[in-house]
Amino acid sequence: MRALSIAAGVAALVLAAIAVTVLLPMGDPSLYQPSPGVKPLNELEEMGRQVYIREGCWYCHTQQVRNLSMDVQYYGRVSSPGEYAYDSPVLLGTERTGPDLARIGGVYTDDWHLAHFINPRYVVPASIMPSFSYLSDDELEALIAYVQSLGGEEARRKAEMQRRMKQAMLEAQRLGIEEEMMQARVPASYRGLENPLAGREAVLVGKRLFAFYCRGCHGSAGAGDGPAARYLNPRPANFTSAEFMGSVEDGRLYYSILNGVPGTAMHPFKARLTEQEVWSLVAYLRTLQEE
Amino acid sequence: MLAVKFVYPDFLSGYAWLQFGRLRPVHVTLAAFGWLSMVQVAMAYYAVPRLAKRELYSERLARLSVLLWNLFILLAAATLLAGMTQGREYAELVYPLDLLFLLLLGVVAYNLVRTVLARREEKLYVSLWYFLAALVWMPVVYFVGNAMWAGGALYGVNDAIVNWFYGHNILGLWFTPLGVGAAYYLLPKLVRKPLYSHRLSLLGFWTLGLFYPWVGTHHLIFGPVPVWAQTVAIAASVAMLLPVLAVTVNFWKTIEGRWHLLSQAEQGRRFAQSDCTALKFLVLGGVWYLLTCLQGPFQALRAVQPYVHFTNWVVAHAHLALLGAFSFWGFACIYYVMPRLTGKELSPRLARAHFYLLTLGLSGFVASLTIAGLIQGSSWQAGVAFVKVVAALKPYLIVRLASAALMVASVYLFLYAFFSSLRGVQR
Repeated sequence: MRALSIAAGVAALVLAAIAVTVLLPMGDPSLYQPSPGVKPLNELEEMGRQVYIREGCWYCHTQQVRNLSMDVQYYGRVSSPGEYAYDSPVLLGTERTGPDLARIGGVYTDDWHLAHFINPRYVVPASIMPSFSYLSDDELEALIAYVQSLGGEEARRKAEMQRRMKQAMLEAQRLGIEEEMMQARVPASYRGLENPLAGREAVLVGKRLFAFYCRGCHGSAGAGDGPAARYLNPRPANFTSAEFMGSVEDGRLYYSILNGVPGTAMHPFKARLTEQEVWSLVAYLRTLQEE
Repeated sequence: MLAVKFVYPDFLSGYAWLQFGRLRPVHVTLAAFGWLSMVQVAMAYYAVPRLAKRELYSERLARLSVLLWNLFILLAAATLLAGMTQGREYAELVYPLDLLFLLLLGVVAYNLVRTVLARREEKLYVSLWYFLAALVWMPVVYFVGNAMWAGGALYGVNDAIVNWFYGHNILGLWFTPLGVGAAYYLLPKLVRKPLYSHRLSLLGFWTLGLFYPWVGTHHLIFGPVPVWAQTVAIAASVAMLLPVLAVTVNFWKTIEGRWHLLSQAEQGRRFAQSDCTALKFLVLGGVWYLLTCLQGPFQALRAVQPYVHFTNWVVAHAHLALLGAFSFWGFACIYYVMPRLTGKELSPRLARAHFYLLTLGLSGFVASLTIAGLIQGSSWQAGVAFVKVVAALKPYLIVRLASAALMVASVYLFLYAFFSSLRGVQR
């Protein structure tokens, strides 16, 4: 009898905990009702989500911006329960071996994601993420659609904007007015800027940064022929071309590194680099031109 | 004892970077449900009849459970490698396997509970309390975490809350009571002295049951779940100091005066060498237990969370618990029980090598990942570019790799010693 009383006692303890910590939150509508504007995934995105689950992406990437300034400064707006209303299983995650993905949609282009999934080191040389080159083309397309949907409608809008900018860029290329278009995008105030850094030291800092951040797309020698380049359209800039380097001002290089070039795989680096570092990179790029 | 063969691939997956996402659940599932659960249940099968002073209720059911369990583990590994997953941490297995596991638990629990109910010993030693509780708790916890909401009935953050109720309570209401129960069984036998305090052990028992089931949501602090739920989980986490200290004080007070048994085997006693190794594993496991259980309440505090959550610190913490505390106690069980079943000791030299290599490896592993975690947490606080932090961890991940290699080597030595000792033993 003693043993049975113990069994009943411990069962009561665990049931009490279940009632309060598990069942009680289930009655709170703010935890299960979708926030305004949150929509279920479309068919392609849902297929991508299944790939994301199957390959265990969620072991290394969280999908929650916590109510902490450190999270907000990296990833954006704090996540709310209503954003997850359609998710089963929910993929909040527990580890950030890689960055949080709650707001990743639209930050990079589809091309960038393709190169990144084929081999993450193609675009981020220091990455330790596995290669997913074994996925089929359909699976990759779906996975990209899913990742671009993370962050909801705002993310989808940004990703769509990237796609439109890409088309505009390709159209401009066809018409031979690409340079003019690129030029026009950079505010005049930036174009006139002069590089405040010069000399060997800045070049060496720039060289180190280039090897860390840029060589995947632009190639080790800066000829626009890095391992990622074949997946990217428009192609990465060729800093060894006398024609290109002759037409582009320091200010435009500076602006493009800081803010990226929408529609291309060139994403903003202002969260990763200081102004000083960007100017060092510009100084280094000026040394790459072939005579 | 077939479980032992599952040990080494677990460690390997830690540094198999390619297909990491597929191998990780295999690693966790084999470590938790293959190695640890099986060695702990094996210990319960050994200890419960002895404490009840009668035969196991049914030898046939026990054999059936061994067969089912190994089948379960094989299917679990195969389905996970094939990418069949539910996408919930520690609850990845597909639904039919969840049912198989519940059946398995039912068979084990039925058999052991019947044994306890028909006992010939009036007193219920504290180990039996713990075993009994684990057998009541685990089916409930597993059912809530894996079967109750089958078919995707659970959405959004409630899914995460349920997942972490389940995830943390495999540890709290399964590995902990089975492990502490086994430790309470072994300790008095190994130091040849009664337990320091029965009353203290019961205080530890009831406070464990009172506080542990409430802590799950501390995995979601600052996340998109109600603040009250986070606060409840934090408070319960801090209250966990009580059962932990009860166990620890009882542990050290029981050993008091017998510390010499750690370094030298008792003269003229049967299986003295093997018992000496068992005591080493038991005592160091007790140290890992205290460390990991002090980390728990500390990590759960809102002031500490931002620096450790999502980082390698937590990976170190998890290994300190499962590989440190509970696996060390698991090895202690094996070194104590095996000679008594086979009449032969495992090679003392290999046993020593196993102990020291595993200890060295685990220490390096935990130290490197703890430092790596602090680097991550503080760099993120300072807003350092994410990829720069990834690059900065490289040296620590190399130390982790080397440490893991030592641990794998130690387990190979153990396996060799284990199977050598079986040679020539009559069935």
